[in-house]
Amino acid sequence: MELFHYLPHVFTIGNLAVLVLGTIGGLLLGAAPGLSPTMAVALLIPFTFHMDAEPALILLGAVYTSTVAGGAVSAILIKIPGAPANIATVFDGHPLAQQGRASEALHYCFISSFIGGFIGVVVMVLFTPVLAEFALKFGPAELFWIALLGVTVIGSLGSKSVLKGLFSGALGLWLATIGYSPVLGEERFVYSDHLTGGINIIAALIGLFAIPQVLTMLEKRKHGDEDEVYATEKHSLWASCKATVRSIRALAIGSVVGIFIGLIPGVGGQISGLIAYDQTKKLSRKPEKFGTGEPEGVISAESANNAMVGPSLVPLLTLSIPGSPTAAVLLGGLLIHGLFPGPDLFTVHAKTTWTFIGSLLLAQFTMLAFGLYISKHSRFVMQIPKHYMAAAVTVLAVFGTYSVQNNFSDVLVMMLLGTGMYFGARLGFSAAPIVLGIILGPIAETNYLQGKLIAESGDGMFAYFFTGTINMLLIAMCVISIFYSVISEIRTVRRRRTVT
Amino acid sequence: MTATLFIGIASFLVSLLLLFATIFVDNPDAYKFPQLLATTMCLLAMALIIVGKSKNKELLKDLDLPVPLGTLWPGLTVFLGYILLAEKLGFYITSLGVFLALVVAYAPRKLTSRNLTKQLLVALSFMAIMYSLFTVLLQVQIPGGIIV
Repeated sequence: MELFHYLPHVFTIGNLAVLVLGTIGGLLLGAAPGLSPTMAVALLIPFTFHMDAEPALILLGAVYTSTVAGGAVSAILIKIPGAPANIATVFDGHPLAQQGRASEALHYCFISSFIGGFIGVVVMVLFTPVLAEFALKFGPAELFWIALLGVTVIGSLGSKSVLKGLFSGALGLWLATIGYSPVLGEERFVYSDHLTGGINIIAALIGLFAIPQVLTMLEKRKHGDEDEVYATEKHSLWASCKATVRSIRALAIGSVVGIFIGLIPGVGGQISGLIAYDQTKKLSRKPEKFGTGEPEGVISAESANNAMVGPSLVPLLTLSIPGSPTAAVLLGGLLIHGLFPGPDLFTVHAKTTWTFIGSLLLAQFTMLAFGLYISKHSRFVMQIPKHYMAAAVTVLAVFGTYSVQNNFSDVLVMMLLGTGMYFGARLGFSAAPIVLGIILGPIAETNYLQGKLIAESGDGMFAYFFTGTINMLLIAMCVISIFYSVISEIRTVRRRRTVT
Repeated sequence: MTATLFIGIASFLVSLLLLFATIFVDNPDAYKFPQLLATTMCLLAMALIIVGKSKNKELLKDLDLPVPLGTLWPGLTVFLGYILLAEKLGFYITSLGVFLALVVAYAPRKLTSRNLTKQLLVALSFMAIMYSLFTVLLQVQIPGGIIV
C-alpha cells in the first residue's frame, strides 16, 4: 500500500516539528471563540507561501484536525462553541463541566475525536475511489433534502419544545436569506448598509452563544451570587478510555454520520456533530438524559466532527470538489503549491499527497496527546472569576468576529443578535436551531432553486425531487425525524403531568 | 394567559412582520424562499398559540422573567459604548477600556487602589495576548484608531 511506502517521510525532524506546532496552535486557535477551522486554515495559508509543499500541507492538515477538536474546549468549559461544528458538544459537555467533570468531558472529547478522526482517515485511505463516485451522486435535489434533514433535526435541539425549536430554525433560515439572492442576485432585506453582505455564520455563532453567556455571567455576578465554584474532580484517564469504548453505539453513529456528511460536497462538517448527536439521542435507551451531562452526547458529537475531516478531503483530492468549507480553503493551499486535484495528485505528486495523508493519521495521535494534556489544566479555566471571564469573552468575541472578514458590520450584527438571543432564551428559545438555520439556509435555498431550474427543463418537480434512492432515503429520514420529535415531546409532557 | 400562548402571539406578530417584508417587493421571484419560510413561521406560531390555549398549567410566571435590567444596564451600556467607539478610538484602546469597565462594574469587592491595580494589570496582560494573537501571529488588520 502506497501510504506505508511514503509514511516514513512524515517522520523527518522538520515535518514532525511542523506537525506538533500545527497541532498545538490548532488546539489553541480552535478553543478561541470565532477562530473556526476554516478561518484558522485561511489565516495560515500565507505562512505556507515560502514553505515546501510537504511541510506546508502537513501544517494545514494538522491545524484542520486539531481546530475541529479544539473548538470543543470552549464549548465544554464556557458554553461557547469554538466553531459551528462544536455546537452539539455544548449540550452535554457544559453540563458535565458544571457537575465538576470538566476534565472527564474533555477526555471524552479528545478520545472520541481521536477514534472518529482515525476511522475517517482510514476510510479515506482505503476507499477513496469508491467514495469519490458516491460523492458525485449528490445533485441539487439530494443536497436540498440533506439541508431539510438538518432542519428537521432542529426541533429536538436544545429548545424546550419542538415547536419553539422549529420556529427558531425557520427564523435562522430566514435570517440566512438577508443579502443577495444566491441564484437571482437580487438584494433582499438590506435595510442598512451593515446588512449588505448578509449575516456571517461565525458572527451569528459568536453572537448567539457568547453574548447571552456574557450577560448571564454579569447578571449572576451583580445579584451577589458567589461564583459557582465547580468542584473540579480529577478523573482517571483509564476510566474515561473505558467509558468511551463502552459507548460503542455513540462512537459508531458519530463516525458513520461524520464520514457520510464529510463526503457530501458543500454540506460540510458544521452539521455532522448535530446530526450525530440527534441520531444518538433518538436511538438511546435513555434519551431524557441527553442535555443534562450525558457522556454519549459528547462522544457522538466529537467523533462525528473529526470523522468528517478525512472524508471531506476525498472529493477535494479526487474531483476538486471540497466536502467542507475548510476543505475549500485547503484547496487554495494545494493550488499555491502547484498541486492540482485529480489523478496527477496520486501519480505525479504521490510522495507529497501520501505524506500529507499519512500526516493526517499521525495528527490524530498528536491531537490526542496535547488535548489530554490541556484537559489536565481545565480546572484553571473553570475557576476564573465570572466578571473577568465575561470581560475576556466580550473582547475575544469582538476580535474574533471582526477578523473573519475585517468588517465592523459583522461586529454590530453579532452584538445585536446576541443581545436579542439573551431575551429570546428567557422565553425558552435556543441558539442552536437559529445557528443551524443560518448554516443550512444558503444550502437549502441554492439547491432548491437550482433543482427547480433543472426540474422545469426536464421531467418536472416531482420526478426530480421525489425519485431516486438517495432522495427517498433522505425523505424517509426527514419524516422519521419529525415524527420522533413530536412523539417524544408528547411523551415528555405526559410524564411531567404524571409526576405533578 | 399561559406562557406558550404569550410566546405564540409574540412569535406570530414577528412572523407576520417578516411575511409582509416578502410581499411588497419589486422582484417577487427572489422572495419566494423567504416567503415560504415566513409562512411556515406563521403556521408554527399559530400551532404555539393552539398549544398555549390547551396547556393551562404552564403559567407566564414560569418563564425566566422579568429581565433584571437593573443589574444588566452597566453591561449593556458598556456594549453600546464598545460599538460606538471601537472604530474611532481603535480596537485595542476601546477593548482595554471595556475590559476594565466590566471588571470594575461587576467586581464583588470594594474598589480599592490595590484591586484597581490588579484589574489594570490583568486587563493589560489580556490585551497583550490579544495583540500577539491577532496582530502578530495571525496578521489581522485590526483598526488602530487614535494609536495609528
